[in-house]
Amino acid sequence: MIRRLGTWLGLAAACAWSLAPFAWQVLTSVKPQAELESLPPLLPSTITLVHYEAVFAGHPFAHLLLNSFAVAACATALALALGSLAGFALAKLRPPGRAATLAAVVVLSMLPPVATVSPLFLLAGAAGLRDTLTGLALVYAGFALPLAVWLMAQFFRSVPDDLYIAARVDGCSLLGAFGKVMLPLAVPGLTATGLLVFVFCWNEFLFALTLTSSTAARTVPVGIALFPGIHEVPWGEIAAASVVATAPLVLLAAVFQRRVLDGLTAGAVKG
Amino acid sequence: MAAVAFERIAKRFGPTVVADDLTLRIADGEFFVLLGPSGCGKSTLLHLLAGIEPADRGVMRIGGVDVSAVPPQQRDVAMVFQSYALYPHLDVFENLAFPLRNRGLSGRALRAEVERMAGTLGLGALLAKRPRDLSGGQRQRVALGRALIRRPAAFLMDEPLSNLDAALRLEIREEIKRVHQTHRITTLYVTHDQEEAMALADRIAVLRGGSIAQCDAPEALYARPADTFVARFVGTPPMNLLPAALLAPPEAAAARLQGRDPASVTLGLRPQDLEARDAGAAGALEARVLLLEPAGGFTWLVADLAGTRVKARRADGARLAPGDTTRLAFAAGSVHLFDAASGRRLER
Amino acid sequence: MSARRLRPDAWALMAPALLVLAAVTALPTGYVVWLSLNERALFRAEDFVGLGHYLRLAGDARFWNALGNTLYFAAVSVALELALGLAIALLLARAGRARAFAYGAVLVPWAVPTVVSARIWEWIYNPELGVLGYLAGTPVNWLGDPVLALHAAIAMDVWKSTPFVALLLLAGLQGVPRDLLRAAAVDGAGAWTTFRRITLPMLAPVILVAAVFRTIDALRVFDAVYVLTGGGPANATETLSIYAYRVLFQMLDFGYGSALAVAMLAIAGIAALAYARLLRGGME
Ligand SMILES: Nc1ncnc2c1ncn2[C@@H]1O[C@H](COP(=O)(O)OP(=O)(O)OP(=O)(O)O)[C@@H](O)[C@H]1O
Ligand SMILES: [Mg+2]
Repeated sequence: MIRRLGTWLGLAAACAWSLAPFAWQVLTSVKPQAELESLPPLLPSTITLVHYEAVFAGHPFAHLLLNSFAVAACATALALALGSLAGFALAKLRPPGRAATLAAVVVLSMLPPVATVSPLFLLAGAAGLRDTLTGLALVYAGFALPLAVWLMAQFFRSVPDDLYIAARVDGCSLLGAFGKVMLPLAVPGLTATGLLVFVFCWNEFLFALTLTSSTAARTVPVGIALFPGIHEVPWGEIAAASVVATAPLVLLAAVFQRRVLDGLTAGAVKG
Repeated sequence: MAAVAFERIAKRFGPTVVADDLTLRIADGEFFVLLGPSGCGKSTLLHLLAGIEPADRGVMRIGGVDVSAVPPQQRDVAMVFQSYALYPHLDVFENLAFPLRNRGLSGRALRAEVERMAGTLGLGALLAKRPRDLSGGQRQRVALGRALIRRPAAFLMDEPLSNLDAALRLEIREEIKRVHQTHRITTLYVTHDQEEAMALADRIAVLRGGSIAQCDAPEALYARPADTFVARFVGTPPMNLLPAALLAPPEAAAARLQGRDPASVTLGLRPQDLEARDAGAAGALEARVLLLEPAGGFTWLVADLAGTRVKARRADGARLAPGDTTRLAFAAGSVHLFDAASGRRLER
Repeated sequence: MSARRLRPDAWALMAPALLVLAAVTALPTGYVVWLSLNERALFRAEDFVGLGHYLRLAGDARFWNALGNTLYFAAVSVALELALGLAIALLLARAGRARAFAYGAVLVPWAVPTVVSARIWEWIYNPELGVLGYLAGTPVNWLGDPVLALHAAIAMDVWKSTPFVALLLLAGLQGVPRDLLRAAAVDGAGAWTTFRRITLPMLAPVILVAAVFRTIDALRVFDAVYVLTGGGPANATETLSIYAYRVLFQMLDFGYGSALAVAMLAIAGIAALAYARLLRGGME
């Protein structure tokens, strides 16, 4: 009985610790400006949306949101397409050297981004991709690929070999078996991988900061980090922008909780 | 329908040798069984023929044509698996239709074919169900139907009965035999169950360590095993193998060993041919009873024969108990002789 | 080995992914090493200086300061994340009917973009208006004091990254066979003994994996600290990534900045190797 109570208290503390900072930001975003200039009050006397209006009216924030979405969606699509093909080949065709290939992929995923940001800056410039959404999406896809390949290989491994063999014998080409049998069976894996890659792209900061220089290709994290303030820091607006940038992810994580957990733990736990 | 041949095939996975210079010729319409212990490479041979795995060396022919470079979808073979391998995201109708759709069939013709096949296998009522809602026997019928529906040049079956319980196993086994008798499609059937092999096969190849220990009709395999491995593998209970020296005079008729040194010969005696008599019987070997296994009309007994465990038959086990002494008798013609060193059969 | 065994079909399917990987990660990794051997200001051609930048690095106090900050940040935050993560995982494993809600709550910090979490904590740490000072009862300049600032950054990272550790360990916990725990209970082991003798050893490989992931992540920390403190005050929170970024993009010294980047590569490589050895040792 006491242990039960302890568990519940502990759980409540863990949930509060996880939720409180973001909840505080949500509160901040709906407080009238005057109440932001002193503390207390902790809670807003009335709920106002002026900070949200200011974010969208005064800044190109909507444009940044669109940029972020476009880059994350394209990079995710690319990483899923290439990653699932490679993962399928590794898991079901078992080419010689697959272990070395997977190891190389894991090593690449451990590269510190700062280590490659200077050459990528120069290469993107040379290719005319600096300050473009295309350039950013390509870089994101590349950095997300190790994760995508690794996760998709894990998920394809859990589809029985016999199904692949049956599809080939029943008249499918290699790509036919991939498209008609393997991919439909790997939808949960695709969802999990897609979610993780999308979150990675949506959150990425260093490359977005260095490879873009104008609103044309800037993404939300850069916008929030460089939030303009004329005299003092506009905490209400930053809070509102933060909530807008985070809400889609929190929603995705809540709706696809199972898949996110699968993705986060796949491979790490089983092998 | 077509003859199938493996010619000098070699295949290994790293250190594991699956096939080493292996040659097999299967006649058109033949029911051919590959029999071997678990992990000896039976499934891999089917994968080689289907084109899923490339061979390291050698040629495979279907209908006389070298298919080594032909991709799986063009080899015109069909496969049935131990795991059923039904497409879980498709219903029974679509599972049966899958191979036909891949050949461009659709519409009314497709529906007619699927319904005809479902009819012959008694699956008519299940067409709208998903594989997970079917019993094991129903699943394997669907798998059979999916393989049969396009009349392949050859049928490859990988232990199709292993996941079924005993009663269903017999039922589906009969179904497979019936299908073969009606359509006469060349069938390559893999199993590690020798009884299944005997019941189904026109010919059986016993595999061991990447090569063929013996390839023969079931009766010949049973009557004249080529070596001690085949002798122990085919027939239940397995054949007793005894050092010939046990037959030291008076039983060792020198003529039977043809003048060979008894130390270089292993005797093979099937338990069915070894009759346990009461103590005192003449011309028999004395043994001590260890265990009794009633088998219905008769009893198997396990006995200690000068330090070797042997299995023998007794018409009724009533008056024997563990610890008793018995005498084991056999007909002269039922003895198999093997070379003690190589295990090869010695021709009489 | 014959051509057939090389599986050209498999390599054809992997080729697009490998090409993109080569272009975006492998090629730049080679390029950065070349850059580090050259004097290269932006818009100027390269000028080979051999190991010159590395000699400069050895005597650069700011580099050693950044290295120290990075190692301290990684060591303390990973240790805290593992301890807290394990506690939360044990709690989540008993969440029962509250599971979906508890998992969802714990996932929130994971889902918050790093930059946003830096802004959230910057506001919480605000010396006059921050809620933390309010709760402490006295205004504290959390981010203005060198010692406090580094620990404030660590606290933020712990908040953001503990969920990943907790969820990983939770999956590991769920892999511990129930029969083993029942057997231990039947054998008279108490809760603590069961945890020490069964749960923890069974969990060890997962703990190690979590430690690897988190350490490698913490060693390359950039956006969280950069947005929170900008590396200040007086470089007290400047990590290697931030220093390299500043040399590259504020001083526009691509040669020396690349040498710093290569140093980071080396440290990440050493960490990966050390853990690979540990992992192999742990498996035997
Ligand atoms: N893709 C592969 N890579 C490496 N080794 C393999 C592969 N496929 C099979 N093997 C190995 O080759 C040997 C033969 O495998 P195979 O599945 O053909 O045996 P089997 O006779 O069908 O066994 P079972 O009766 O258990 O089905 C086994 O030792 C197996 O581990
Ligand atoms: Mg097999």
